[in-house]
Amino acid sequence: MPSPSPASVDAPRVVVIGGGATGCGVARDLALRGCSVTLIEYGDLGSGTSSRFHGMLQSGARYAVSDPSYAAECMRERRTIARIAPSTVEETGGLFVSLPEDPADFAEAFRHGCRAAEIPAEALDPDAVMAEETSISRNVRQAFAVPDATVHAWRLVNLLADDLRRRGGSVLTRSQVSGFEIAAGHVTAVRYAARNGSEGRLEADAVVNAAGPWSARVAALAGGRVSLQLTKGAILVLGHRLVAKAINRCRPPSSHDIMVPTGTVSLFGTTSEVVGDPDTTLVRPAEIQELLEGAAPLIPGVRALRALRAWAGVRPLVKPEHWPEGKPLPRRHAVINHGEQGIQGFFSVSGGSLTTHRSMAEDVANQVCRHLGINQPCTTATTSLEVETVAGPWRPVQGFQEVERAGEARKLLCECEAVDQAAVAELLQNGAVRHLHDVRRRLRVGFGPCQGSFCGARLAEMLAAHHPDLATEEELGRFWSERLKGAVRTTWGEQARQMLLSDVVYRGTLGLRLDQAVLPREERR
Amino acid sequence: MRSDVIIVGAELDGLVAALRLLEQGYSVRIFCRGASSLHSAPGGIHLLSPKGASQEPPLAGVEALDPRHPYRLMGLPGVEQALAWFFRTCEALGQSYCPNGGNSLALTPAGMTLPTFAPFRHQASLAAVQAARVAVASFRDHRDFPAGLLLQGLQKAGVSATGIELEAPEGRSESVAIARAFDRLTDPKAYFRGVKDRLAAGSELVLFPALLGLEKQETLIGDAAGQGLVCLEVPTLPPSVAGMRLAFALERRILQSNGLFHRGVTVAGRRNGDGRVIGVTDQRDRFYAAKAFILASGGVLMGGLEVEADGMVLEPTFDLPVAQTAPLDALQVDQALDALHRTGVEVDESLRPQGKGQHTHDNLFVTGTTLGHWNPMGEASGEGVSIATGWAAAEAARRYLEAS
Repeated sequence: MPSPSPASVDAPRVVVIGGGATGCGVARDLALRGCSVTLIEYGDLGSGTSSRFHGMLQSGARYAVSDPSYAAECMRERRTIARIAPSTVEETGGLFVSLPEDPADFAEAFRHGCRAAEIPAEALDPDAVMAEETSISRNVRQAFAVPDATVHAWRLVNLLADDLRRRGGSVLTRSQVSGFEIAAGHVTAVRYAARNGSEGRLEADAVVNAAGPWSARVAALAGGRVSLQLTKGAILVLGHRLVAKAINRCRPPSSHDIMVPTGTVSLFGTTSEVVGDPDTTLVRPAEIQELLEGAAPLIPGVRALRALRAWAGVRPLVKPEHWPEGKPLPRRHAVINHGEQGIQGFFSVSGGSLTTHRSMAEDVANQVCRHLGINQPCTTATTSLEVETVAGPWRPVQGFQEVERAGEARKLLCECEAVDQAAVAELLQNGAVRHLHDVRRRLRVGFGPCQGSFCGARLAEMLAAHHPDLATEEELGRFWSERLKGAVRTTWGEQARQMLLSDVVYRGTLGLRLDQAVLPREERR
Repeated sequence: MRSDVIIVGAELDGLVAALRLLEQGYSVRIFCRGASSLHSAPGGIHLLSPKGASQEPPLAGVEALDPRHPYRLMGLPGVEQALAWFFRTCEALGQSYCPNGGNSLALTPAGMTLPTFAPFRHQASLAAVQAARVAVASFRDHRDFPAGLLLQGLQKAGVSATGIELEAPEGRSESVAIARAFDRLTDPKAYFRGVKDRLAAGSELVLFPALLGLEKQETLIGDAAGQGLVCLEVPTLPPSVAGMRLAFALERRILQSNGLFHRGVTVAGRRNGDGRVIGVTDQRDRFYAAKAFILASGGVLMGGLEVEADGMVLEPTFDLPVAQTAPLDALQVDQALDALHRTGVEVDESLRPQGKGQHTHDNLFVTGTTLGHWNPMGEASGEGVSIATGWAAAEAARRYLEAS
């Protein structure tokens, strides 16, 4: 099939709101079908829910019993992403382990569910599993291997955005939608305010709202309705890869039952709390205690481990109309055509997950194309996102192996995550990178055990060489305080020492002051 | 194995106490687990910084501090005596400082400034570079000195500055290795002549990362001056050679005075009796007795205080009562840092640990960051309080030993 040409001059103009995986996926899909697409994002790409989850590319096994059709969709999409964006996926594999306190009959239902959803689930010898996974409980009764994986979400989001740009689309970050222009019941333009104070408008033949937990607010700006249930999930980051595979409890999906190896650390999650405000990402002390307590059966030594930080994300689930009160909401996404609410050309998509972002994009793009009279099939499932023809998988520990082989430790910029100077230099050359945070998200600089104590100044120096007007004090202050903000929730043991060491570096050596306007704006509780 | 005094921890405060006691003829044994936090310190002496650079004596700000702050507990005359003794002692060790009554603004590697009471002798301050044409030197492949940020900071401050990248002796690229290679240089004059030849015409002053030798910095900088190269140093990120010089100079002097170091040793147990500490045991349960004990274990940073998952702060060596913090995880980041610094052992005016209104042991004295109610980073007072309390603990131990 010939690949559709980049948007022509009279191509239909579509504005996509939201720069997470879903929004970037929608924008890319529509660009592939010949639309002229502008993506608009409030912050940096992937800075919302797409970077605030457990980091898994899910096989769907987790939902094999509770939500079989969603489970099957996860499995299909998980395979698709591994095919079109292999450099974002680490094939860790996943385990479901049954502990004495888990319902004994669930394992059987789980096995059936996986079979029905076409998720390969292989029963393993519990002793072999315990021999391999030394951090987990010694009381594993049953264990199943499933094809769970982990995903480098920021890389995925940026691959999507890069592909969008290559196909003629444009990306506006740090710009907040402020309103819509609607004429004769049709949306005709999106107004926005950029962080730098400038304002603008984007004319549009159609608009897609993919703003995740913020999509109800965005829809309301146009007078549209999206009914969401927002759930906050807090995650604890533990130093080192304590498990080889992503480990789930073999029980009905609930809170604190996943341990995921990602990068050089492990994530344990999550809590689950219904919230009203999509900006509720502050982790309360009680949530940390809840996570530690919840983790103890699976990871008995968890309190003695080094917790690096904690953070939370807000996940949106769509509340279908007339849904019975109290019944668990479907995990699957929904597309809302606001034409039915009197706003033609305005669509919202929400729910689902990062694993299913591509099929979410396909569904909403199908409706947009129908509205615009475009007769092009979706090709995102078969069009590679990788620039290199043979892209290898994401191998987080590869950096260390390369350094060991080359004996070039001197060129490392971030020792904890094995990020070398060349990777940062390449990013500075290619990308519109203006802040330390932009680099941090893309390369995981500062994510490891030292939490940015040593790489911050090195990174600032490289950035300042590209941007001589860099506000160094503010940049370093924000970088450091952002690291502290997560770490302060887990300040005990070695991490308490680490916080003070970072103080020795930032205040005691670099001369930063905490009374400068460097502390992040306090988040609402 | 009996000594007059056992000191737990080789932090600046412990080293000061040891040297002071040895000077007065007492036998001293020092237990330390690893390198002291001086290895991460930028090298200058920070006394107190109520308001940045000022010719006002920083100790004028003591009145505004918490009444339980170590400076206030021991009183200003003691602090001043301790500092005078310290600067005199360091001078004799070839480790000179330049106190000039007020705080000067020392340059940091990020191009910012730190109010510093007594910069080390060749430490660069903003005042020293302001009217000069400056070259900022960096060593190829050395990662712990962001020279670009220093250069940018100087230029923003209106200083005429350029950068110059040099090859370190022996092609070294790690801080300590570079400093040792400088100590080993067979022909320092030739090295600095080479630097001089590469400087842009008109450069009057070269700012080096503080790596010009671990021991021979005076000679090296003198050699450079002989080649017409005026050098000042700016501390690096940790490990910091500027801080290590002080640690090594004090440790050498202690060894020369027959002080004993037990390195890599954790004090695992203690024996109390009759309101006193009788002795301590190491990990292998060997017992060491002494007449007096000084706890200089480095607070939370060095593991001298332990923060439990439930937020309780413990003093593990002698199980002393600790001034607890508010729950850390409920605090803002700046408050949490402050709380981690301020937690510590409560003491009376002779630095004896205190609980329920009376001291817990007659012969135990606590110093430095293991003490509560002060914040070395927030007040920029780290070295000052360490020197003052180390000296005061030695005095208190001496008084105790004389009396008993």
